Amino acid sequence: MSYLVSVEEGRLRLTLSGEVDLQITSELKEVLTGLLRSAPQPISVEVHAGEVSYIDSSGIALMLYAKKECSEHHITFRLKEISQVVMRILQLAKLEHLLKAEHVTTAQDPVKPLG
Amino acid sequence: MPSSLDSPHASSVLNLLFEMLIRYEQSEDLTIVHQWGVEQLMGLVDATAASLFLADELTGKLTCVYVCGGKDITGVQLKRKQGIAGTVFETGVAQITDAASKDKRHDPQFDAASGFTTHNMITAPIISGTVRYGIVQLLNKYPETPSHRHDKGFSDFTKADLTLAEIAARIMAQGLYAIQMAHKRAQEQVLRFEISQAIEIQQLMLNPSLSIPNICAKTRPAKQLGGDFFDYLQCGEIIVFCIGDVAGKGTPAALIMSSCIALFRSFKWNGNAISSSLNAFINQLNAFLISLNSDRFVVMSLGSLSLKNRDV
Repeated sequence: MSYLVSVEEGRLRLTLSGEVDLQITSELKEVLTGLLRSAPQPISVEVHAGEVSYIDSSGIALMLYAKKECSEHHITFRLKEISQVVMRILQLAKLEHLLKAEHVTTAQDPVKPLG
Repeated sequence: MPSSLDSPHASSVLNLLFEMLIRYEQSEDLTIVHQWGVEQLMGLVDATAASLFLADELTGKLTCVYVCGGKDITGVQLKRKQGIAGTVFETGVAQITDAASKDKRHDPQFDAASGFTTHNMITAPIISGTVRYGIVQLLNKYPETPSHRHDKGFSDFTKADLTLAEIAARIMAQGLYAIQMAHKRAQEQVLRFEISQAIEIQQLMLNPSLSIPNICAKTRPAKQLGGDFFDYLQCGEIIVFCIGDVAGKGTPAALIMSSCIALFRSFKWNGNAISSSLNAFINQLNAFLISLNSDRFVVMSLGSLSLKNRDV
């Protein structure tokens, strides 16, 4: 499974793993839009992408979209962690300052369960 | 309708209907044709007055656009389902109202305000398929003979009158439909022309401003307008190039694509510091795309080739 969305105490957690590409991002965008625009709105959105092994431009666009939606609805957006693969793509696109990750996972970091 | 098609009256009726068809087909000014049609219809059914109401596409309200023989009530509006006119418009079924004053749907204040007394009427919907355009009303039929005269001095509208009114109203609807289609075709023609112009300009944009030996490129969009692009230019001994793809297809992608090329060509490239120049361009392009506040994004390969040492 490439993504998992959960809401707990008003905090929306989006966990991405494996390959994140156009096949899932279009569906995921609809899910996020529904959650961010319907009541009750989450107070924050946390993205965990530390286990992503591949991400394409649609995946990066999805993160930007989530950040933009959060900004428009006054919801806190945090990019909690990303894998080195994601970091590399962000650096190539010069977006690492716009999508600032709190932590970049390395190969040594323990693999966390999806849930 | 007259029982025999050979009778003079039948001949008049057929001539009128035929002429209505021709006029509605050939004229672009339906106002004049409507007026003519309503007056002719009045004559055929011996009505003393008539009115034409057309519906607003958005609100469904009926507005009186023409009156003949009665007090001028043009501009008067009826709400949906208001009165006999509103009912006929909603149901799409023509009807004869023999005694208007006894019909609860008929608003007596309407007559009081206009100074006209409605005794009887035919109300026919102007309808084509499922599209309703309005209604036509024919009021207060002249008596054919003294024996047909009511106490009020009017005669009854007949089923033949009703049928004739229905047919005439249908012809009016066809005329309105034809004009709508003509407008739609004209708009489509304008749009096709504008798209062909846009395609031409996009093709010009995809012709790099300079030709360099051994460098060539081509793009073939999936639709008429596309979001794929490429470009290259020379800055001293450096060739800067880009190959990109705007997410999506069609006109929106083409518009963003043209902005990307314009930005690429107008950017102040520095051949002596090409690395920082490339970084600066990406930052500028990112800032521009974010400012659009659109969900679309661009995937682009951007690079440089040194003609001196062939470094890429």
